[in-house]
Amino acid sequence: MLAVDKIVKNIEDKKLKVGRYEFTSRLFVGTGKYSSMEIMVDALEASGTDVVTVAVRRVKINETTSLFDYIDTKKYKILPNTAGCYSADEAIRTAHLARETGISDMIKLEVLGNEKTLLPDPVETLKATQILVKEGFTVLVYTSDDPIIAKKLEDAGAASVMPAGAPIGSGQGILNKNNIRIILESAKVPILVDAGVGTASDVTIAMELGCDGVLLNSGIALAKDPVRMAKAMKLACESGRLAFLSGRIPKKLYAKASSPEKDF
Amino acid sequence: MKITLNGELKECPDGITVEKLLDLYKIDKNRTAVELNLQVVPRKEHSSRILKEADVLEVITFVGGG
Repeated sequence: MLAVDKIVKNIEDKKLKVGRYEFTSRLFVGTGKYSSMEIMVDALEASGTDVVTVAVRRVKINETTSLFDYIDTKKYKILPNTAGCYSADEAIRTAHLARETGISDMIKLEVLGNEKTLLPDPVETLKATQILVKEGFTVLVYTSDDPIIAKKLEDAGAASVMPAGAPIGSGQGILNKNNIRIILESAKVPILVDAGVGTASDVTIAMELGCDGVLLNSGIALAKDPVRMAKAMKLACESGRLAFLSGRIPKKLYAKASSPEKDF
Repeated sequence: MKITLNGELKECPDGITVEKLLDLYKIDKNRTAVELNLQVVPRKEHSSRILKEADVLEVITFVGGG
């Protein structure tokens, strides 16, 4: 028997747990901004995700098609968001309506403070988190990359804290790795980078830092080829996660040869 | 009588229930939620909750989002 045959190391990852929900994929994918429903369906498939975000909006009277004609709720968990809310009250109202549909008690809480920057309002976000947690929601909360507010949201009972890598839809990647690292250092709930991802390496960087997952939408939906980009994001997420679990080598100033020194 | 449905003034029969109103406007009840004068109406009350003049009704569903 060859020595190699005895080496079978199990490198399977544990599932991501957020509250009482379990996810196989660590990539959360949005359902907005695709050029067609067909492309969205293929992109979601290629991304390997098992949870998709959706927005709450008024029913259009006389509209015959529904988002759920295209999203198989047996295959994907649904994470409704409170996008477009600018106060705790508005976000809470939206969360109540989302839960009443019977789709989930998960909510991606997003309370914005400014229409141009789409940066979160930390005060209103914290207030809404406290109330929704008391009401039994599984709150996944979008926040800035500020470690102090991230901690306060965790202490308020958020099931996951989701700092922005960069402003929503900006595609700038992870702008402040140090802040993300500080958030990760003391977090006891899953930390997902939500927003700002532009390309695959951004996802990898987030995962290599030790984030538990990444939530993205525009990076896939607005790519020239969303389906191919979805696959790239999936691989990037898996690569980053594996690299994080593996433990990278330290960065050194000088070279260190990989081959033994010549001894003949 | 007149009610406001999703921001539009609509005419409907007196004493209509939430459920009948949704039927009248052919709104799919699957994956929707109803709010009456800013209060959520639980699904099980749709068939018994009677609307009155000037009620403000919001019916929501899900669309693509991030």
